[in-house]
Amino acid sequence: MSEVLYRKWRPGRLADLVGQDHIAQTLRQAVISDRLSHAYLFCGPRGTGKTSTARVLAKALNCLDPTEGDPDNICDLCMSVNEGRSLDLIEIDGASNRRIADIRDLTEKIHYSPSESKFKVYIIDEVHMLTQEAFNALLKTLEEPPPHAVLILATTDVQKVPLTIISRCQRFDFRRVSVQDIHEKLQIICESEDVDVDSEALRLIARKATGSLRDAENLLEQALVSFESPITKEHLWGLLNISDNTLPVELFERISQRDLKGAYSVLNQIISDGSDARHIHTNLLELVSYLLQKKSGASPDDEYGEALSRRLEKVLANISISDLIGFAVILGKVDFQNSLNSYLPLELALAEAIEGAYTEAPTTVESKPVAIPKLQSAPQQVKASNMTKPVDKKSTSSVVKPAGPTNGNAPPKPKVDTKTDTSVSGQNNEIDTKWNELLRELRQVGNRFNIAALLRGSYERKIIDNSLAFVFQHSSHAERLQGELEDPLVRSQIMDAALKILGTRYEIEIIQPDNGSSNSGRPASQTSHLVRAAQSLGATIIEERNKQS
Amino acid sequence: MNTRNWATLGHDLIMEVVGKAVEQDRLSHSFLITGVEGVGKMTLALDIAKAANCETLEVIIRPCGECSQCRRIELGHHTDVFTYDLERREDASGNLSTTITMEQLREDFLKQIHRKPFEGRTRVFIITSADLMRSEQSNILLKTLEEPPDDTIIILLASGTENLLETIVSRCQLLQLKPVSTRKVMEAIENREFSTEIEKKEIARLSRGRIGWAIRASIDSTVVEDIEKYLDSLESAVMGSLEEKFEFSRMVSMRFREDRRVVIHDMDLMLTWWRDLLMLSVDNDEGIVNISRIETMKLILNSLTTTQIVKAISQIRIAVDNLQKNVSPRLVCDNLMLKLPVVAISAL
Repeated sequence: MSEVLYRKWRPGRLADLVGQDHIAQTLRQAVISDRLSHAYLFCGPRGTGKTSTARVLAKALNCLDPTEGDPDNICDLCMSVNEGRSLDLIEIDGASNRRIADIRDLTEKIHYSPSESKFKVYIIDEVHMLTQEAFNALLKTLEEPPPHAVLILATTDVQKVPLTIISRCQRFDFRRVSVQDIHEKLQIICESEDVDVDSEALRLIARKATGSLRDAENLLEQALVSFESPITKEHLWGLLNISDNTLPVELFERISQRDLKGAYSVLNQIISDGSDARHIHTNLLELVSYLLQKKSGASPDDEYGEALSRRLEKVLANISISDLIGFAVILGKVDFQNSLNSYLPLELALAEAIEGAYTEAPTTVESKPVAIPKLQSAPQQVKASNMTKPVDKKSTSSVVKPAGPTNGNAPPKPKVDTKTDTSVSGQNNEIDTKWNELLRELRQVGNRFNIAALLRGSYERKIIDNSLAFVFQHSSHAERLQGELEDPLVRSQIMDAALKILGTRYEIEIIQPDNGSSNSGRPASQTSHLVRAAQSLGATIIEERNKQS
Repeated sequence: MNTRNWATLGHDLIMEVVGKAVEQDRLSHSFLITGVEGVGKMTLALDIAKAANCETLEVIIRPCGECSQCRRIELGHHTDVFTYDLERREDASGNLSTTITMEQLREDFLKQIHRKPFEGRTRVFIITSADLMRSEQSNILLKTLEEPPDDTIIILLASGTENLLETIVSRCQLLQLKPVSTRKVMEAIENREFSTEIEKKEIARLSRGRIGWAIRASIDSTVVEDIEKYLDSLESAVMGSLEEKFEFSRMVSMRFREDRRVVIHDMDLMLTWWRDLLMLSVDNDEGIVNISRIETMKLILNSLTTTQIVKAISQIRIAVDNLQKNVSPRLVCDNLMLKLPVVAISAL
């Protein structure tokens, strides 16, 4: 078995590192000027060269004849590292030797002098997997190792490394390799392997590798093994599971025409060809992102070829940007987890996008009393109404709104001035939808009390003529707010917030509950868990009685 | 004989890729095979193991499937092929635990991997359900996966790449097994015996590309019987009164206590049934899975709107989700039964 490309082409010198010039430069200077740190921490995403750099550094430190900070790779010491038989380079797999006993072993042996070279180099790879105790056992050694020792820690997950470790090391952050750099490196590999791969194909590989050189080399390897050269972009499609884009485009055409039946038959065609639901999903997402960019006037990378682009132009002409965004949102919600029937989520998404059928995500916790009437869902239901029978709305609506102004069996409201009647419901809706924004705006306001917190205790918001009125259940809240409002600064801050969020500089008014008869302002149907639970199961309130009677 | 004898069916492109690699003796040292359950991951892994150990001199027809190496791998006797599977726990229920144990990996895998091949040429380590490994376990593999000893191939099997560390994925050659097209499933079970032609078609569609499942269903007739029985009770529950619905829910939750995986699969069947309703409601006949049920569905459809069906499906998905989160099964099922739309069949 021959060695795979990513092992064969592991950088042997700092000069071979791809896309990490900032690190190569620093390390080279350090080696040349002999100002080495005793501990290094290499972190960064997969396939960016951490382990390779660590090995290069180990060689550079011990090389008998280094040139400009790079190892020569021919002297005995370099060769022994390359062949993996060096006694002074100890590479530890941090994930399988993560216990304190393993680190104790290291701290014991590190004191022995190197056997043949100047430095004894420890590389601890995947260091994030060490246990807490193991990290702590390493601390003292890491801070002051014997003069002949250099420790190099490498990890993809630097957040898991304790700060006390990080602060004792010189830290280097490896960056994702740019597409251009990967492309160039792949070209070099192809030339020396003497294979002919299309430049466009290499670019595709480089893009698919998302910044990891190892991924790119892996893909190239697979392509080289599977196809005769010259290798072109088309060859890679099968390999990368990039299907022909005709069917996704057709599917999208049907979506834009709101033809659910047609969409399902296209989807069926894709399925019976044998394609993974996730792939169709990604394809559609890519398509929508392409169309969004096109629609907004940007010129995205053209992946669709001439004929398809023309068809997409036609689709674009008939679809608004908000429809596109709406579809993107629906697609984004699709959740394949826990779904054995892997096409179903996609089919539901199509129904939702085309028919506006309202679906609930599996994660929503239901019947949870919401403090604020959930009006966001209302537009969706309205949209669906053209195909929903009126009966259905009642029998299946499951969220009990505690105090929505639209609620059918609305509770007796606290006594409010007769002015209420002039209030415009549209405006009130606006407050309710922007309520959270308003609260966020007022988070920092208030002298003794936090205004946002006080307002959260209000039970209803109304626009009455030119003022914003808050209805409170408990008089203590109302009194506190009254107290705060006496400070003109606070009052104007609230009014400013109202101007910013609602667009009008309303006066602030407080409506107190008329105490006495009803202690909470809400009837039992709104406060009791039992009643709410019964309601969510479909019960309706026929009669209410007082406890005493 | 002058062709390769792959046991894997229906994945022509992937087999071509693997075949080329065998031919050039350039098999990667680590593979990651992804695909849904029953699509042929394990078969492919064993195929690779055979190809890497086959004794036939001509590389173009490896694996031959006939030499002693191939046969021993097929039978699971080969001493150089190791499988690390979910551990069957010792307790009374005999349930599968959800992960491969740490000891298995550290004590066994990491020690075994440094030994030389014993009877074949290549040692092959197959780790199933790699996506169910916890982060410590995946991390143990990292270094070994990147640079395993010579003459060693590590093959990870997983349902997808999402739940794997990206550092793992990047170290392996990725072989993605897509669901096999319905046509190819039909071909694969063409010569098997079925009671009716419709049943054969139904199996092919129900398999949704899981070719292994289709073959199993064609051999074991109880698979189909169980499905039919379940669908019968489901239909009567959907059309029936509240009492019948609760009876159905009681049955489901009882079974859940015995074996939860069966119930999760049943819920999946329920989903396909409702999905068929959805398809029917938009007059899309070709995509229907449970072909034998079309008549009943058409009846039911008279009293349902598309929106109601979509809602019902999302309710079932919520229920499945809750079941997997260990919510009381009876509660979940009862709740689901209440949420499903009321179907009034006047003609019955």
